[in-house]
Amino acid sequence: MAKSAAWLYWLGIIVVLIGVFLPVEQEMNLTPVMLLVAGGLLSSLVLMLAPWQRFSYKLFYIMAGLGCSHIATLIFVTGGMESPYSQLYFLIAIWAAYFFSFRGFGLVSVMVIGSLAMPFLYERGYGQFHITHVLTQILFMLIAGGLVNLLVTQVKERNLDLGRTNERLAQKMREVLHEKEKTAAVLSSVADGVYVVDNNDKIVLWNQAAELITGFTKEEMVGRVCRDAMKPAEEGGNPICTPLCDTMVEFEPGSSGVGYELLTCRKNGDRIWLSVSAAPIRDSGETAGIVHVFRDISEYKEIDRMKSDFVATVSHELRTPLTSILGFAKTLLRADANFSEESRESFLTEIVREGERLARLIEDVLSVSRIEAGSLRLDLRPVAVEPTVREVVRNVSSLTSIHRFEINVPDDISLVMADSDKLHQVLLNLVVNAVKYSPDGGEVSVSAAESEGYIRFLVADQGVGISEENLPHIFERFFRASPGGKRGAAGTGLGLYVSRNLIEQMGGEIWAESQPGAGSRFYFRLPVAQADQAGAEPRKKVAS
Amino acid sequence: MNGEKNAKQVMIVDDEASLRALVRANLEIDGFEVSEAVDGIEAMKMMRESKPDLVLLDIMMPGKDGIEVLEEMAADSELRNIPIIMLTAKGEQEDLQKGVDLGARGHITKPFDPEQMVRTVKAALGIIRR
Repeated sequence: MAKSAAWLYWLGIIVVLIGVFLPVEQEMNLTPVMLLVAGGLLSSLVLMLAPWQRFSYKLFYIMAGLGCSHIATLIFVTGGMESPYSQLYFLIAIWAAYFFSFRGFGLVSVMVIGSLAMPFLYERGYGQFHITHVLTQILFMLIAGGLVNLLVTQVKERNLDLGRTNERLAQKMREVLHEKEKTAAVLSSVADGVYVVDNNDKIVLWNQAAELITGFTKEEMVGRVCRDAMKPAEEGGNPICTPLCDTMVEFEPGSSGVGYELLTCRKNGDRIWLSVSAAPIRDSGETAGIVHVFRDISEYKEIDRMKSDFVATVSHELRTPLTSILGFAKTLLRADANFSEESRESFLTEIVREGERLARLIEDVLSVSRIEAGSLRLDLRPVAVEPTVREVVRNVSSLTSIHRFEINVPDDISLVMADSDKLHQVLLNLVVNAVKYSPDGGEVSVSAAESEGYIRFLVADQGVGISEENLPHIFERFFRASPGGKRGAAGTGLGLYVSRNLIEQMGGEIWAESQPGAGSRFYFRLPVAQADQAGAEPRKKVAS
Repeated sequence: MNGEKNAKQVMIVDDEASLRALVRANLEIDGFEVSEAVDGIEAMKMMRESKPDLVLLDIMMPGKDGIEVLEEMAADSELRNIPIIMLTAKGEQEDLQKGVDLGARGHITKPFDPEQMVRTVKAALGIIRR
């Protein structure tokens, strides 16, 4: 529209120029006309050379205004209504019709004609001919302007319609693109791996999570046949679609898919367990491909394995003392043997010792289930350190003859804030471990010291120690300080896990240091009991 | 058979001291000589020094386990013919089968009746019929 308006303007200028050089019948002073033309030419030149496309449309209204004033002035100075250029009125009317609404155009036309006709009528009188002349001019002008305005309005409306349609199309396009982006975004942000195979078993989609889980990128997978995909040959991994490929599962009409678990390999050769569910993609009744969703369940598998391992270990651990208890009891009952008082006593000692071991084990298993259920009850009271340590060491020292025990607790140590039974359980676990992991004997020392409001306990042995790689894991559930697969030292892998939880819930912390081959040092600390917490039991010295 | 002196040498291989004591007490009532090994490594060493007439072998042991001991014995022409009775817990079926394949004469499942254990030992040594 702006461009055509500019053309209109140029057209006006050309008409004015032609008018100027047409022969004029009356004598007149041409100087103002020439000035006008020169001004018009100059402004045209400026406007032609100026990069007007970059300016606003307002510029064209100004241009049109300039054009109008040029013509109006030209007509005025050359004789008004009688001027040979008076027919150029139509140009002004058409411009006005083009640029303004019909009402605006009427206003402009009346103003222009009025300003030109008034002096004319004033000079020539209001005779019927002159009035008719002016009215005819006005009539023609209104008709011409009206037609132009009608045309312009229609064109404008059509343009507007087109514009609206375009806008709607663009909006639709944006929506479609947005929808596509959204789908892509959803697919790439789901934590589950997603891939789609077409009817030729070729992978056509492989999302970001699939890349993360398997290590294979989209570029590597898309276009490959799923039977070959994800199968590092040297590793003997499974193709990702194994059960489908093996059994040639055909999806029944209406079936919502199948699920399976699969052991395969990542790109780097690590074995992973995947849980895959596959469902047909139906396109108007026909199967168009299969969408697979999978997630890495290696961790669950590992926990599963650890759990069944744990059950096996616990039942083995329960059976061992039970075998001895029952065995010695039955031995005592053997009718064919007469035992000396000494053997009888040693058998009974075994029964008691193994019974205590069983009790300890059951206590640990119960603690674990209470810890996991969050229902561990603690009875925190001020507890005397030295007697507790002494009792634990006395209990354990009866189990072994090859270990020396050393107790190191200062006379003036404060009471510790703890659940007496749990503190006993933790100390017992640590001291039994110290014995268990120093099979060649040696010294086991238990000490306690007070510093910064805490009582710090230390259980040190001279045993096999803990390797650097195992050390960070020893407080984890089910962990036993022996490489996996190989059966390790007897134990459920619960003792340290339980100990850590008990100590932490009593407001303390537990840690360990070790030098493989030279022994381990287990530390834990618990808060000192404050005098007011001690209540009826005031802070007191503990007799050593 | 009570109090009968067999003077046969039986070795018990188990990491549990109380279990070794249990086996020893019961076999000694029946006049066996009993030697003890705490794990597979010690068992192999002791077997090479003095060949026992029978080995009671725990399967689940730290270090060298029972299966490894069986494998090593099967590969050793001097030890191949020593009868072996495995000590197993329930649920170790896989190990049991492996043990039988490696030439174990029988097995005792923990917990066991001490008299039954003695009878199994005697049967394996051909002292009594099963």
